[in-house]
Amino acid sequence: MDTTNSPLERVLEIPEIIERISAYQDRRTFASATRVSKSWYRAYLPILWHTIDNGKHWNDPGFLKAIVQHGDLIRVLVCARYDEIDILIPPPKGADALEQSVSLCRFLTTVVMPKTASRNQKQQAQFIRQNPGLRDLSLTFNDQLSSTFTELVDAIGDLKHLRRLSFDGNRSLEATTLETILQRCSSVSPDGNGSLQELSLSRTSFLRHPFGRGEDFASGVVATRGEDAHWTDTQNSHDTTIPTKEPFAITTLRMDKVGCVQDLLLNLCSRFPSLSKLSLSEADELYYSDGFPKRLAQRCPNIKWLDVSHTEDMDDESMAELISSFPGLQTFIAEETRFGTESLNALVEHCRDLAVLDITNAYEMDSAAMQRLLNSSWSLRSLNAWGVAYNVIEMMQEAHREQKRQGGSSTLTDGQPWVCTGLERLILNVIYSPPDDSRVGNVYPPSRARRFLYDQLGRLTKLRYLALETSLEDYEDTSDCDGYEDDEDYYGQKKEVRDHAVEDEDVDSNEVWVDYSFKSGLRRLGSLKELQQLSLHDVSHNITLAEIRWMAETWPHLRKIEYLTSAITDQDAQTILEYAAENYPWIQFVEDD
Amino acid sequence: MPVTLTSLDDVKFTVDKEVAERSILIKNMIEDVGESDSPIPLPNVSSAVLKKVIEYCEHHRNDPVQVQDETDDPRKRSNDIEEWDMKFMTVDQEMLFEIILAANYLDIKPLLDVGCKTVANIIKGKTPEEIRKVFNIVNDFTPEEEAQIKKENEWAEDR
Repeated sequence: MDTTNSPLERVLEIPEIIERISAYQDRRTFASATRVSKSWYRAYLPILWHTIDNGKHWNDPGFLKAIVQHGDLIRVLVCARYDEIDILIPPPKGADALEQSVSLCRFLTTVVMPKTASRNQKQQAQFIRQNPGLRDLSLTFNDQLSSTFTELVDAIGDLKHLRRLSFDGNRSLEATTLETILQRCSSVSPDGNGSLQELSLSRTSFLRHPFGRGEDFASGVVATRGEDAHWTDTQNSHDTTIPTKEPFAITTLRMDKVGCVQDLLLNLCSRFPSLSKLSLSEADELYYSDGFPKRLAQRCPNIKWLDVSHTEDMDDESMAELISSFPGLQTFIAEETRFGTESLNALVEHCRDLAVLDITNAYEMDSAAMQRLLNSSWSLRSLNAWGVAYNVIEMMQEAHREQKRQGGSSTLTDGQPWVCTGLERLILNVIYSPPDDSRVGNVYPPSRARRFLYDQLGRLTKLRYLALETSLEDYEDTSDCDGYEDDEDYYGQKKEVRDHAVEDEDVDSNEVWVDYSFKSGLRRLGSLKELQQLSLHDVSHNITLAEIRWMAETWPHLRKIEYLTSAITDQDAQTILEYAAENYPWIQFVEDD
Repeated sequence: MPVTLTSLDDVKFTVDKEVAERSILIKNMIEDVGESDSPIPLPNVSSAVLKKVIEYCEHHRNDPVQVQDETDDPRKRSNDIEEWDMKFMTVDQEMLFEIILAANYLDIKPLLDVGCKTVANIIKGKTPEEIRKVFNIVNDFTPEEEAQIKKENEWAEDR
């Protein structure tokens, strides 16, 4: 039977389709596939050899033999062992010393090189020269000073397509070496090679490191301090004008988990005026002084993406100063930091283009400030503010104040509404906590606060992911988490809800809280037509079959609900899951991520 | 607003514009041609396959349009297939691969993904002989050739 033109054979001839199929398979399947027939072999061989990143394979003689034949199919190579370079490109021997060895791989796009030392740097240089298509290169410089690696640096400088260069965890990179490489790969001049845009120096401890403080690297302004100052001393750090040097085209700088003084960072950045993305996540040994933000902004005014997560050294005030120095900020990641009210106010005041904000587990914050953020950030697309509970009463008060400021009447409505209607992702904790002054509690009873929240949420018509935890605190009529168990009628009624008309919203009740039940006002969220995922993590909810049915019918893109069953009794959970599986099989119910 | 599609074997299918535009190829064609009643020719797709493709697009007409995320790591994609899609893909193999080819040609990424996942799931964990059996493939290797390839790729069988 001639199968040469069968649909299967035609599929095998389209690499893009085979790649897509292989994305769902493992390496063992690739190996099996290559043995099926000749056309399968041709289709799957490049897939099998595309990424080599398992150090174990180098121990296998079969692998070492096979790589000689198929090394040219490798695109992504991650080396771990020291002597892999000998395998990939044989060292010159004796009389052949001047003749160039041939590398087994010549079409790599990404490589993580083994450790560079003076004994192998020539080979590494040859290896790189024979892979001119390299885009992403990671080097380990640990023992010898980088200035001894002249051939290697020369080879890197000749790469025309290098986009990303990493010296993560290095111990011996010198400023002169970096200068040489960047001059050749990251030039801003039109006839220069400006392909290199991303530089990574993560996990490097620059304290007592041959790089020094980068004073010779700096351009235009140099950050220095007194000679006798201790290496962590930032007090005397100041800027001095110096001649300008050629800037570089670097737009992304990663300095995660680094240990260095701010002077180094400032001097490094003075050569990267186009810098738009800076990551200092977990950089716990980065010593700042006042004025650091302004000095950084002077050098890199175009930073739009900033990650300072998991750092404790910057207090709220300093972070606020940092934020106000970069009004073009679009993404700010400050998870697990001392981000607080001042920083939030700074974002509201200065960063009109803010699109992504992550302040998970930041310090306590003024709820009115959060309301101000939601009231003014038109560009906000993603907000993760988990970990701090915002008081809805204070938010409502702020909403009314804002409305008054804008000249509106504040008697009947809920005040100035949230303007962040482009929000796609919202993760927030809200509490209802009345102050001691009972008049405030009377003006803003739980029923009103509940309507406020549902109404504001209802405005977020682009929302795709929602995780809102709300709790009622210190309110005398409050029901606890399993409150519905006490209310026999409501509980009894739930079982029959599948067949009867569902409850209407109880607009005036102060006992019902934001629990995603109809009674609380779930229908006000009918406008969230783009909602794909609802997370009930830590939320005490009153979702029954009726609510699930409504959600499935009202939110056509709903695909996942997380933590639904953790707040209801086993029997109910079973009933709901069975019903949902039968009627709405496209909705996943996930209990833990 | 209806749109007419003509298959390889000259069969005409009339569908809503919204349904037809699940195919990016067709969407672009409509945009280029502008308002027109003339049918869109699809010479690469037979009527039997086109019928299936249209069925898929009708069912998924309200799905959010998948935005190609640059940071989408294929290794993190889920292998799960919705129940309707699974039933939809229960066809003979020739049709399965024809649907994949059509989805590729018409640029309907969700359908292409479902097809590829289906094939991936069929092949997963099978020996070469089992794969041949499932797809009725003739083994055109000599026993020596096959043994050599097996030896050559043994390192990969480990993981």
